[in-house]
Amino acid sequence: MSAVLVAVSEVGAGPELEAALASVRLAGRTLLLAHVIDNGARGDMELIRGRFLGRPLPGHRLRDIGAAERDAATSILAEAATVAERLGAGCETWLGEGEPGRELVRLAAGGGCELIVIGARPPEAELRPGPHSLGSTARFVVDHSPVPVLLLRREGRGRRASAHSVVPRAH
Amino acid sequence: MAGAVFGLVLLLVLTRPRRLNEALATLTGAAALLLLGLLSPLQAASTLAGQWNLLLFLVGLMLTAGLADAAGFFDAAAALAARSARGSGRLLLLAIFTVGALVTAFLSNDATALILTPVVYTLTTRLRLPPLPFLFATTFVADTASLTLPVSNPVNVLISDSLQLNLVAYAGHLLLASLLAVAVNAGLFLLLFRRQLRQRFEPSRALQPPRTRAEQRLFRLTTGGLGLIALAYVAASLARFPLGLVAIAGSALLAGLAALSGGLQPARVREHFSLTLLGYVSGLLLLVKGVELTGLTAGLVSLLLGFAQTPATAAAAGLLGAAVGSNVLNNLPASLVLISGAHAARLPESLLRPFLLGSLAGADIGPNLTPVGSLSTMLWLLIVRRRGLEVSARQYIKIGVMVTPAVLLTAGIALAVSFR
Repeated sequence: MSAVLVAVSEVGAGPELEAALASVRLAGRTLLLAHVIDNGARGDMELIRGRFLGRPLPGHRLRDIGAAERDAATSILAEAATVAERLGAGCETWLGEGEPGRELVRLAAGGGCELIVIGARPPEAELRPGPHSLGSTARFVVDHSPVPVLLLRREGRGRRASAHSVVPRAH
Repeated sequence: MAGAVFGLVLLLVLTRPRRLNEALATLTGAAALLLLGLLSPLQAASTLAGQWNLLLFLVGLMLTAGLADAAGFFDAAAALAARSARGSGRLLLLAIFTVGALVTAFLSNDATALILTPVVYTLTTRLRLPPLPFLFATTFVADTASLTLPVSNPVNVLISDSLQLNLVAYAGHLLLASLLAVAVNAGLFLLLFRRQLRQRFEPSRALQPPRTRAEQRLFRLTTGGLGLIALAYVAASLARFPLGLVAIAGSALLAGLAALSGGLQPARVREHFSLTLLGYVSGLLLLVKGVELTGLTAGLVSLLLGFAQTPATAAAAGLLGAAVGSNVLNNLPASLVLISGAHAARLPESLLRPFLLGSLAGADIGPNLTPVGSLSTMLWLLIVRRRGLEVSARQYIKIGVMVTPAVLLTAGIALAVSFR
């Protein structure tokens, strides 16, 4: 049985996710709710530390950061699973760490997924169709996905996500 | 010849072949100057002895920040910011700017950039807010607010020592510039990140496990100790008492208080201490002295001041020179070269102070233009191309280019006006 991979951003499950799930025919499919802990910020902090010599991020800070990231990610996925259950969909969750676009594509390429559902931009970003209307994660997924991608565009801040999304065929 | 050695060392520090230790590079360069007879052992000894205040200050600063961190001071400050923001992303950004400016003013830019930044990242992750605006806020305010007091940046200690400024004279020229620079920086961030900051958050997500009684005691004593250190810094700057001694005494006080409450954790403090930094600065001091003896630094400053005849234009020349130098090299070597050159060129008193205070502003704020205010990271980025770093680094430069010129201009105008 193949699954629909739903990318869940750091803000968690919002109306976008509900609209996504409702717009995909769920019968006979499992949802794979996937969230990636973006480790780019750790890289940024290393970058900043480059100017102040000889002091890498201390071990206790790395542990604090790791715990905060895991706690937030776990609750994000739990919330998304609650939404999926409310819609009567069977679901599994998957938690990764790294660069989100790359990790999602790698997961999809591993087999067992027939579709990736992803928001065009982070929820806080303004939607403006045209060039640069995709966020970096969606851009990477659209460019590299081995399976079709359902790209969700919101109509604007505060409104419900629209289900008039296109399904671009990747490759 | 000394210039060539200096250039070679800078190139090594910038490119870091085989992850060469920066201290090793500058100290080897300094040893080469001694071996080649370009710097006498006596000159070397007197140069280092002349900067004991800076070196002690750096030691005291690292220890104080480490002790404050081990006592949970920075986590408590971030938690306070989260509580006072009452669920608003915008207010949280402003609260973090405020905490960052205060930490920078009294504990220096190192403490904000190195300790507060990861604390704030942990906080925003728990609050499920987009982390970048807040990460940028702490990084930027560490530099922007570092004009505030002579202790807010090691560069300030160097320059106010070399000008023999007391706090009243210092604040007369730089306090308004600092406040305006922080305000402009915060305002521009609110504008640039307005979409991310619309988001509200649930403050209870950041709740910390309650402290044990012993931890509570350590935290209270350390906070009290930090208050005393802040007062001592102000009093010492007023009386022109060496800040290095205050920093060392302050760290001894905090260590004593921690030992008293049974919570001294040497390992946690050691994590914030870097011998590399001390070696690097010592080597740099010697290298710049060697270059100064050739007359190169004086020539550079004369060139920079080519058309500057008034205090305001001298301040502008210093600001631009230091800002560019800080982005090409790093702010410490850039300001050392300018200080050495300004004194060696025997600038008239009417131009010396504005030029060096302009350099101070440029060396403090300038690093915000590129990710770490130095070409080395840019080269490092190109070489290593670490995944995940690339996008934010580009965004970093974008934000730096949009925000930093306006902040520099604001500080520069306020500084120039203070000389009228």
